Amino acid sequence: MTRGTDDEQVPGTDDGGARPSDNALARRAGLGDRAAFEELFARLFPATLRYATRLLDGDERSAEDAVQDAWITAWRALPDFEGRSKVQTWLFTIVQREVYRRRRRTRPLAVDDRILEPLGRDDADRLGAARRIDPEQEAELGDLWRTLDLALGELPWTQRAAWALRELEGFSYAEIAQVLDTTPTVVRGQLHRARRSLAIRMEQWR
Amino acid sequence: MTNPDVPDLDRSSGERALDVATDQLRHQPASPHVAQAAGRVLARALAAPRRATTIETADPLLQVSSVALVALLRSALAAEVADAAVRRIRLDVRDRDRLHAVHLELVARYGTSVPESTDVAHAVTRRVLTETLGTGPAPGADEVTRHVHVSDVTRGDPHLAEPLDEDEVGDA
Repeated sequence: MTRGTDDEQVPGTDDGGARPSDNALARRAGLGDRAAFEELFARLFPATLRYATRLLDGDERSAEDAVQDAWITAWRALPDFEGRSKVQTWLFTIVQREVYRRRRRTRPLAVDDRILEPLGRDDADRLGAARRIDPEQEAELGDLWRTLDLALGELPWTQRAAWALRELEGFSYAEIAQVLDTTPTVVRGQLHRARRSLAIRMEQWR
Repeated sequence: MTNPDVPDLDRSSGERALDVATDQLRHQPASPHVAQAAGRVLARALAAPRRATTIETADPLLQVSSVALVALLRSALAAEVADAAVRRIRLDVRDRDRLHAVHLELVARYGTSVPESTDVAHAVTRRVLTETLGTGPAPGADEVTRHVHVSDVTRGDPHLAEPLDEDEVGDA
């Protein structure tokens, strides 16, 4: 009943070379397996930084600080992670808290849904530049995403977070609710409003 | 199920543009900043100390960290117990840093012989404790109680999956 191999190689050594799941890596990292933590980090870090950067209006330095604090928290807390939810959801919950803390420090934050804010002068200038480009032409050039990126910046914060988790990270409603500390029903409403607002903006820029 | 080649006339041009833009955004290459930041963030995370206690050994001049002992146990158990993986290791440290008990929680492959797995786990744990703490009565390894229990099962290799992973596959 011996395994006979040193499992310090993180990827699976049996079952045809299958990779360990994120949750299996989290379990091992919690027990002090640094190689497992590095593998988990390699899988999930890009998404956590992308998410934080989007919520912090493209401020890469603040996003890196927030994500760094989140990963430090994760490394320390993994021994207590009980695996009742996916480690990805747990990790994004930590990132969300760090981002929220930074954002609250730097600007007033409306956490409830609200109508679209009037554009500030800088945003209007940026959006004006975007409007001068025909969206169909942008689509052909593969640049329509830039317009969407600007429109996302106009959304209320929780709508933007819900939309990014759903559309870019592939989270379920229940997982988004866990990250945002709310209910799946509220998430459904936020996503509906976010999509409607974004579609209106995309239409206006035609 | 919609055919992406057929325009959906019921949807507004804004919704169609949003779909196209969303797909483009999903496939944007990672910013160069991601690669630049990854090394820094990983190094700082791994340098962060975990909560730990010190444990006396049979050598009065030597103490070991609970974090180190857990890592040693995990590594040995992962290498030597084939059909069960360690989910949690809890150390009962009392009375001036003395280790009284080790509690192992295992996840076993469905259909495996649980007594055989737990026997191996007991033996491996005893050996690691002896190598780390030394022999003899407390604070040596001889009087440390070892509790092993299997808390869950997996259909596949428990070293590669958690029961939650298989629940999701089953629910899909």
